[in-house]
Amino acid sequence: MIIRIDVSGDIPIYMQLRNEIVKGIGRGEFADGEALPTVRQLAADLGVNSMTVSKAYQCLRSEGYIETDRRRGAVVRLPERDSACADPAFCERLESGLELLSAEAKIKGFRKEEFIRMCSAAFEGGRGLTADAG
Amino acid sequence: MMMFWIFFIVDLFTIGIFYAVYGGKREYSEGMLMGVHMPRSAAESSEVSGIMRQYRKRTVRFYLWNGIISAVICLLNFWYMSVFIVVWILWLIEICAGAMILLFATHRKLYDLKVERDWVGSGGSRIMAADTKMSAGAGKMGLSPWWHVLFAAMILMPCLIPDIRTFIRTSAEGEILLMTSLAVCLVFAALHAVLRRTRNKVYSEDSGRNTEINRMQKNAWSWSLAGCGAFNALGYLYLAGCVENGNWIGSWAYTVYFMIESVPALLLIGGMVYIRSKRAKLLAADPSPLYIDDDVYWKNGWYSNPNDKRLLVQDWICPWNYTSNMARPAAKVFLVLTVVLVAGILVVTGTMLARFELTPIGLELTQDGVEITSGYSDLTVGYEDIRDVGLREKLPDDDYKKVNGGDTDQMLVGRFKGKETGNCRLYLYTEYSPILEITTADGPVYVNSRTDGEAEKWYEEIREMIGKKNQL
Repeated sequence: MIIRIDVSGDIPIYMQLRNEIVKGIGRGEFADGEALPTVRQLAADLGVNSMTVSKAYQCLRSEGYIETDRRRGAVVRLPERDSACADPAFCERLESGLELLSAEAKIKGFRKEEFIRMCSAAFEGGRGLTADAG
Repeated sequence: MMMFWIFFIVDLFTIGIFYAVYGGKREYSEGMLMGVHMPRSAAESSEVSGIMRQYRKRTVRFYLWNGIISAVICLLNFWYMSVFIVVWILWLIEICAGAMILLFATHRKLYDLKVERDWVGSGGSRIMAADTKMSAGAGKMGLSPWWHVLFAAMILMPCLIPDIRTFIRTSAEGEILLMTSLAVCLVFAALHAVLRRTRNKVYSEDSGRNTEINRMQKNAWSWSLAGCGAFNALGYLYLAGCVENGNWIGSWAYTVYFMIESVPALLLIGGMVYIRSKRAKLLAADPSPLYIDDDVYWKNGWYSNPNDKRLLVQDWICPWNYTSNMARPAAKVFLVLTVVLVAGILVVTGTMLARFELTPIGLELTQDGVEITSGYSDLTVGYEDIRDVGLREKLPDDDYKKVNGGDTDQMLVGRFKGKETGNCRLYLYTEYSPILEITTADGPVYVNSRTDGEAEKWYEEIREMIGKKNQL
């Protein structure tokens, strides 16, 4: 998977890195148990500080997207599907995010159908997850 | 005459290498023209073609003129060597600076045009990319640099032989050869380790393709450098095997040694050519190339990216060159130190050579002994140390090697070592005779003068002084 980082953007680099990996997992570009590069290697290839990559990995670990062990390093760990809605914190964050996005879309003049179509297309982008779920 | 031809050929090679690396025809490849990302249609537009035509004309003119100038400078060899060396170093600086200015000016012109015309990425893209699948497997690319430990052990192996140990302890060249071989081994090992750890570049949307290209490059580099280390060790082992009587290595052995030591250069050039052609082939077959537009960091010709923590990055001018990230303080310090070092070398070399050539060889008799002065070093031989003194028409026939000092077409000054003569000191003008020979316990001292009859006068004075001292 190709990770792209915009170093001139407002979003911190570690957050962009976290987002890119989450999007990759969502799109099915990472298989469950697949090894991620070491912190040092990814930092060297991106030309960023090792601490930045380490911070991104810490975020992903705390959110349950990856696991780390001494032998294999960081590996992708897909969460249990049935438990996704049972995660109240995530549901709350999702609702809050959608509320904000739909509000912004309304202000910018989007119609409900257009907004739902875009949400649906974005969700369909995560082919690996939907296929497994289906 | 010899020096003229040596430097003339070196100059031709230098100009040829500069032209091949910096002046060669610039084609549109990997989404770039002269390191500036732009669409192919833009690269083929009349504006860009005009700029490239002008660049081409200036480049050909620049290298042609430098060829003529270098030949004229080589003629200074027939005058003073010191003047030649200073002018030659200045010419080297001029060709380096000129080649860079030519390239950077055209590069900047193309970048400005790209921004003006709003071509791809002209908004100041600051994207950096990595391929996670390729990065995850990067540790397995290339041969381990630990192989160089074996080569260092090979170099140290002859130290187990008593004759070689004597040679290293008693002869200056023995120590120098061992240290040089180990230093070269260390340089190859460091280069190997650095190149193996360099950033993996993303060329394509296809991870398999990225892995293949990066692996091919790291394998080729690491095998080349391991080969370099092996041949460096073999060269030293050969030389160590040629030590005669624990104190002498013949000229033929040195010739073979230099030939073995040249193999690493061929391996490196071969590696570069292989990487270049193989990468071009792999990229040409790539259906989904990926271009990361980082032109904004290269707009002045050099790299300056405060967001990139790397100090060394691959150069746009020549893919196997590395350049420093000028946004890093270490790069600025390195640049200033390099400029100071080059200026220092220029001043010191010029001064030393001028002093060497322009200071006449002199001999004076003092209360303590015979004092010989020259542009390199002075020597005082106490009267009690003189075993014999004589005059001869020429140096004894022998194979002389310089230990220190200098040897030009006109002069031989400093410590030398002859196969039969052993350690000796020479203070000689090559075209003049007779030669005064002072025999001492530390080996003979040979001195002469450009003034007719002066050597004979020194001979008589020394004999007279020794006679007086013996009477007392």
